[in-house]
Amino acid sequence: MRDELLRVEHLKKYFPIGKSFFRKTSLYIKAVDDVSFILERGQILGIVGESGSGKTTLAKLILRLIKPTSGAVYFDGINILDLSEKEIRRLRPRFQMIFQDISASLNPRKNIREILAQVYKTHTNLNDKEINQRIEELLEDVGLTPASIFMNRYPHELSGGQRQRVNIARAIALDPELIIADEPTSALDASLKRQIIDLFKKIYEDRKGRLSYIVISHDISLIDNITQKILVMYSGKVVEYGDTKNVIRNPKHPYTQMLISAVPVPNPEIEKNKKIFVSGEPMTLKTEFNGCPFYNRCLFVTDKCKKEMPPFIKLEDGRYIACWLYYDKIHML
Amino acid sequence: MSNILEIKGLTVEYKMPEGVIKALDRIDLFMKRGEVLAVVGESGSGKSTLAYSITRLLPKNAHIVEGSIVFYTKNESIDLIRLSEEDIRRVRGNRIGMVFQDPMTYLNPVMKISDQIIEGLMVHRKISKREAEMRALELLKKLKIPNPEYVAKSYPHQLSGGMKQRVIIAMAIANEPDLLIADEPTSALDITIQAEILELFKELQKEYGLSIMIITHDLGVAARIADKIAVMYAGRIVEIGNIKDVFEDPLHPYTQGLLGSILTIGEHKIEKGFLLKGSPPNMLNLPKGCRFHPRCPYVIKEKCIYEEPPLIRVKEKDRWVSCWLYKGENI
Repeated sequence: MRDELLRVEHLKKYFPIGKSFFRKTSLYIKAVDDVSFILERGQILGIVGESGSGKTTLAKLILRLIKPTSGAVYFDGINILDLSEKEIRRLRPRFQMIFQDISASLNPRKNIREILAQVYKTHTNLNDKEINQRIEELLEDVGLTPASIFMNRYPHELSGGQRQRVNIARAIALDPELIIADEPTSALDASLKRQIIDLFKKIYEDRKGRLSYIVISHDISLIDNITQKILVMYSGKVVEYGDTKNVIRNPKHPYTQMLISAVPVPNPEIEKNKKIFVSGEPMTLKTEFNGCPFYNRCLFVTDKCKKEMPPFIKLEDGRYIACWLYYDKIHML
Repeated sequence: MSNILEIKGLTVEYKMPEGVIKALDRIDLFMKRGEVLAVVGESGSGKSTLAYSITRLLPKNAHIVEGSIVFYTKNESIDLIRLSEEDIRRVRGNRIGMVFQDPMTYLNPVMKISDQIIEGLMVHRKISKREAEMRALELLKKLKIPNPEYVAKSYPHQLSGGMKQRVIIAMAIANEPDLLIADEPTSALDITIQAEILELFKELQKEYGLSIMIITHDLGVAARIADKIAVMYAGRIVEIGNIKDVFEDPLHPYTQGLLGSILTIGEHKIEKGFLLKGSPPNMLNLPKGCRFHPRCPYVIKEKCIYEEPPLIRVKEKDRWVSCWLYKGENI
């Protein structure tokens, strides 16, 4: 049986952008528009998209940091959107967030011991000695050794990579079931980035089956290296969803195809012979528009695409896609 | 082909509250006319300082200690370091164009796009306002800006990041420079927009025979656009070579580590690649000897920790490298 950890159903977030003079009703930007997916326990899901695709808004909705316009988010069967603030707080230890801005999430006036101890003091009944022992184990777990030295350091005394390790230590302190990481490596250089990704992998392996990740990034190579499932977002909508390797090696949606072809790979032989088809810029989706958000950049656009958003359909290889090209092929058979 | 740029022994220091940092330490770098050179390295390697030294736009707390940067135009050679403020202004934005990561460091927020391009044209050329206007529009068209008449009348904030960067490139090439210096020109942009801008660079390079120095942390970007690559580490150049050669057969252990550590999509195997451990050194407290030795798996104890390797030419590989593992000629 499949063990469902997170189920997102028809999640929408519309941000008002002021009233139109003639209609007297508010105009909205569709930041997240009708997103649904299931994350199984122990799975790693990647959410990719470019700026304005709604990926960070989606993460905030799942964590209930902002309220959705409509839709539901079930965490382990509980609709977290129905919960009170108090009930949410009790659930918090089970899902954690790691942010892009490495330093902003660490209090500069507290040393690493104090930063990590705070987590245990808020959520557990451990005494100081037990907490210290836990912190020592944690720091070793994230490669900040010898732990006795790092405990007494302040965030500014650490490098970017080490600070991100502290963030990861804090995220795993309470043994969560889900970690949502929003651009966890985009502030880091190549060599440090690789070290942090390897750490994410190790933590995942150590907790085989007990921990799930949602990794949000514009960095396809990161998503390719760590995730099992991929959700491709464009202008607030999911356009393709499936097995990561399959989608990246063989993208089907015209946007995914454009995105993958645009990724520069460190191989001059490939790059110098590559044909790249990119054009245009994403548009901002307003409420009155009901077509496919990619139509203005798509090489295969038809009149239908401008008027109606294609439904999400399942292809033979198990992936889901929202594109009339494939819908029409399947429904003509 | 003749050289367009010859940098020799360039050393640049920054005065910081904690002490003096040598951001560039005896840099030697040559660039041929019509070539695209990628300068790669991690943060703190000095690659941006190099761009700011050539354009003489270093911040106030930085100064050039020694060295020369000789720039060859079609009929003369100029040591950029020895030019007066007034003379460098005649070169910058005219013979040398610049594109930086953040377009807003270069765009005036309260000036229309067309006026900014026109200003850049009229400073360096004796042309009428009307001619400059025509030329500005022509440039916007050349950079495939949709609706150029509208964009010309817009203010920077009305444009997307990708459009702003196109405007910057239009301004940079307005006077048909010999050399374009681009410091992380696509790092702030989305991948699909980055791809468009890189295509644009390629086209401009072909059309004008432009020499481009592109500073980037992204080896994929270098692979896509560059003919040659210079790898920097902690203020020094560690390797220079043809892009294909360096990616296929990196000589310096740092280059090997960098290529072995980067993530990419699809299959990608660098024969000599390995995973880099640790992090780049603190520039205030550099290791003795070779700066890379604490992270190097091939360290020669009696040599690397005491003596800094010079940049030498390994003839049979057509490569410059600064590492004791190799033998070659000094500059």
